[in-house]
Amino acid sequence: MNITLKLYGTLPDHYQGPYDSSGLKIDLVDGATIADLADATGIARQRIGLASINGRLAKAEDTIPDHAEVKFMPSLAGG
Amino acid sequence: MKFLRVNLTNQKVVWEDCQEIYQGLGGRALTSIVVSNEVPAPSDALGIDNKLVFAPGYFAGTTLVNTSRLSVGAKSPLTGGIKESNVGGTVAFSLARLGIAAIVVEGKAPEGRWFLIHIDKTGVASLDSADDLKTLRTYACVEKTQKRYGQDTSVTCIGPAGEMQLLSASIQSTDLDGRPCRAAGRGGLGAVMGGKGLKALVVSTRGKVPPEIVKQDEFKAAAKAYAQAVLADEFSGELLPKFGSAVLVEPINAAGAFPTNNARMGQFTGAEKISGETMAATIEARGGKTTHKGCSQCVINCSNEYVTESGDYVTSSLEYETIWAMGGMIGNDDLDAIARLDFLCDDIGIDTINTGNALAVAFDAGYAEFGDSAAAIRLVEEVATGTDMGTLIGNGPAAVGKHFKHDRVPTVKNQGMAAYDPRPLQGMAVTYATSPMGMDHTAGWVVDKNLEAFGGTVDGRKPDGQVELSRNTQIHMAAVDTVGICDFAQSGLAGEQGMGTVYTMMGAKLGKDFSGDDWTKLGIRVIKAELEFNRRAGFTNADDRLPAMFYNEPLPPYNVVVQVSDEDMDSTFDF
Ligand code: SF4
Repeated sequence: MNITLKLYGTLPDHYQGPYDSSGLKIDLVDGATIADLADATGIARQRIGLASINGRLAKAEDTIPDHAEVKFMPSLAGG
Repeated sequence: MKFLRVNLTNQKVVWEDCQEIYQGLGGRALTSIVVSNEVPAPSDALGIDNKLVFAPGYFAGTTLVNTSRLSVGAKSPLTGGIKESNVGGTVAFSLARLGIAAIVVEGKAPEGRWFLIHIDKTGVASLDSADDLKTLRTYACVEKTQKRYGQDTSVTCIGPAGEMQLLSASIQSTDLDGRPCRAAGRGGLGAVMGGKGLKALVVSTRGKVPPEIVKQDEFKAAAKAYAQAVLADEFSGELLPKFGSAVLVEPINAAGAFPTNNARMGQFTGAEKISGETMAATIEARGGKTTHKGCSQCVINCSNEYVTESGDYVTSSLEYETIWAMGGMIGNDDLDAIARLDFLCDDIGIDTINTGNALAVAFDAGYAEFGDSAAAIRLVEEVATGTDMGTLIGNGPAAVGKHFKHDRVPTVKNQGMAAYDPRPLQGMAVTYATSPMGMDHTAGWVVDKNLEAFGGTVDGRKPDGQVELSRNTQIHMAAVDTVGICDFAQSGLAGEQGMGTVYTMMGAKLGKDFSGDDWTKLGIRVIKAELEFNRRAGFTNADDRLPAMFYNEPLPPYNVVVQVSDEDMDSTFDF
């Protein structure tokens, strides 16, 4: 299945390949989870603060549907 | 350290030694305790009895990084309660280096007269005429003031909104480049300054008085360790310098907590167009600055310089709260318009947050379509020209709601919400409802603790554990605002050793042991003084409630409402 992955903050710097803001087109096996996707990108899991699938927050074990838009965001603090 | 008392009624300027009860305090503790002790709570916030207090944080002027916060306090004309609003830039460092713990501004200038407080590099203070600065916007005010007193002065001033005593009026302060883009925005303190006839506070940046530190070496070592922790942290060391606080747009939007179209939705479809990543790419492509030092002693550099396509300056320190208030909250995904609105608010001297709320309520009531950035710019311009509609916007969301008889007004104690919807982040519901400051995010920011992905242990969409979380954070923040560490440098506090370095620095500066318990006691002392003032001003538990919209309207996409009970809210500060 094909998904689009968008990376935020400094996460593009931690992806092995080139990245542009329209996102990465990634081919995944059916039933792949957020954790599988993180491993496939080579980005250390602890760097990813927040993940979403089609605009909804997702957990590491959540499976990704075909044609989904997945976002990985860094950890935050603030005020 | 000394107190400077300036009375506008008789134009007397008097130095005082710091009284025993104020020893060891700075920032918010000083402003709140002085206001609580000296201002009659029922008095008119814009009248002769209110006092405006400027106090640098307790650590300002030392070698510790990111300690250039100035607390400004008074009775707020917006909330009717006590207020502390803090601002970065260069003023706190400059005051501390002149040995000044606080400036207490009293009285009221004769009708039609304007003054400024000037403090030169030797610490000589005078109250000078500012009649020639009347009606000037803040950028022009700074230019003229620095021509008169020199470039090496920090200028903290009000714009037309403060002069007109509008309830969202801010106090603007210059950054390291001499631009008045730093704001003590919240609570209408610019109106208090305007009510006194004080246009500006002008302070030499050349003061050389070393801050009193009893154990210098201990302080220096701890300050160094603290700075290393700030730089080593990913958020303060990498993300903030690159994207500024706007890096929060995407995560908060994903959490469904990005109030959109006057908080009708928790996600904004245009978020990607106004995110920190988009802003940084835009600034970079146009030749602006994505990394910019806004405040003295800063090692993070979260500020920026936003420019037009042709590279001309638009605004500085465009940050998350403003991007939300002038973006998602009014349905506007045009980053250039947001930057323009940020500049206008700084220049006219109004709080971007309260003004975004006011525009959102007007749009929600049908005045214009959400997303109409041209209408937003026109209305903010009208604040300065003083039209009926401009005056309404300048008086904030509650005034706008009343005018349009519209009840979707996201305020607590009359102050507009910040950029985190309390429904999916219910810890923020407690902070918003119970903070003595009104609907304020910095008083107790618990967003990270409400999101499991950020290591949070409390479910943001549920009420359980939120009161305790907010209470502890509010107490902690009252102490942080007292020492005057920038919020973004709190990464230096993370972990037991991080807090330990702060206790060490407190102890070293005071010359006595200082523990975690003392830190908590300090925070409680500040909040108690604030709550007592508010009670005397007539506040009851009924004022610690969110507007009905947050209890009754499920917020898409997660369709949650605030479930923290009134009883639980009332147990937040049961002291
Ligand atoms: S991080 Fe930003 S707000 Fe904090 S001191 Fe630095 S420039 Fe100022």
